[in-house]
Amino acid sequence: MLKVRNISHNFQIKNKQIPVLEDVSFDIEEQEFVSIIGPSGAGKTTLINILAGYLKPTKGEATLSSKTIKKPGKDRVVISQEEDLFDWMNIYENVKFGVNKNQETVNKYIELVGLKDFANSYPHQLSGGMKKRASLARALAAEPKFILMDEPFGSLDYQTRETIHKEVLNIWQKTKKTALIITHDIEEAIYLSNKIIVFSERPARIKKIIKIPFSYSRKNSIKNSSEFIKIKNEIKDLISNEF
Amino acid sequence: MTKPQMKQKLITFITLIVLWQGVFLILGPQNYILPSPKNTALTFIKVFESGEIIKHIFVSLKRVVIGFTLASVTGVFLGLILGYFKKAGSYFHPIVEILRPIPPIAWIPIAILIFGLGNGSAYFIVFLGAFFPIFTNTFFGVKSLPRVYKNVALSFEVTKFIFFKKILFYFSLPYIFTGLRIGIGMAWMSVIAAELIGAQSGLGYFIQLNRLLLQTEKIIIGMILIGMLGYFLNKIISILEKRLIPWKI
Repeated sequence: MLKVRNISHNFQIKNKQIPVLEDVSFDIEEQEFVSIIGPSGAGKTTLINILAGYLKPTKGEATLSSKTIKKPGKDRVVISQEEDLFDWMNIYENVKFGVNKNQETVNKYIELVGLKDFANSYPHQLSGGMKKRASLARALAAEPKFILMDEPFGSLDYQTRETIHKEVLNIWQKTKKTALIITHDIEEAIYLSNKIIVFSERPARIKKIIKIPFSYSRKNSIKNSSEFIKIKNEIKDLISNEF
Repeated sequence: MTKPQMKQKLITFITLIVLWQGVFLILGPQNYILPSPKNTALTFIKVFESGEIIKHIFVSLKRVVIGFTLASVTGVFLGLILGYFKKAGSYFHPIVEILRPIPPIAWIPIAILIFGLGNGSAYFIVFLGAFFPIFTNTFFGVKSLPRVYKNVALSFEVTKFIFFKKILFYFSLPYIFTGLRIGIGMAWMSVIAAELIGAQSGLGYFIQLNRLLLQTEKIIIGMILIGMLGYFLNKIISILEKRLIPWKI
């Protein structure tokens, strides 16, 4: 279980303290898939960097399985919004990187994300969507407790994003990993998660935490259901209130 | 090479020869500046038959290979280390920035004082010519490692050694090769310069000697060979680059 307790963070620019996160607290239970949504520049990436251990918060702390997060570690792998595969390794080598897993395990995860036929390809030979799936396979192969995703699908086109969403849901049903995803795509957030945390503008505070009532085995058609649309409008209102 | 490319090159080549012949005719057959293409071609065959040029070619190539190899090893090593360790880098970098603008030829007098005439001076000048582009490119390659790669390495908790071996080195490899390509060109120019002044063998010495003997054909032959060999040295690095960096298209 991930506990975030009263985290505040300031950036120092010259002599000025710029607050980006203000007293953020929430929990993520095992096997939960949580989205954070909020206006851009609200400090969402800062929160991911703190949870990843790249950054120390000015105040407060985060604990994973009751251990305080102090530095980066294999128990929480990050999938970045940038391309984070190593150009000089083929997909197999990328997925195997840093995990002392046998060939079978590595291949299992490559197959899980549907890249079996591309194990020997280099990243530059793959499309944007395939690269993201490879990053996902690398994260899963490390078998972490917790996966952090920072707008992982933001750079993909609409069609590719829809396909990858389906795959992500599929993979999540199989692996039941705890995950936190940052996005500013409201539909993506509702479609993928059990819980959505809505952030305010900078300095980010939590505006609301919304439970998503759909079961894990959801289909694309739920996007047209009245419940889905209701949640979507609620989030839209919460975000647009800011302006 | 495709057929049209071959044809284009042939046309360029023939045009040059025709122009050369034209200038020769204008200057007249008794001039000391420019020999005829025909005489040059005949002398070309003669110097290879007698073997006198072959020795000079190998001496120059040997000097370049040794000086360039030394420069590659030290340039890449220091570039990686000083690029990675920021503190050490900030002490060392100003020294490089001051030494770098000094052209290799300006080192020849001091090189001759230290190493005397001959191989020692040539190795040293070639080393200097090649070292700076190799070092600088490697250094900036390491410096431009994206944050996201460092983060992946941190997340997966890999050791410093693995980080160096599997990430930093390979990420820098395209930059290193840019350095090597510029470096081999500099090395070749430097060896010729060093031989013009501070040696008694090599292609640089060969053209200098034939200036004193007023053998203009041989000067031209020496220059053509310098151009051709420089081109091939560059080609070798380019082929190695394509082989060793398959992920860069």
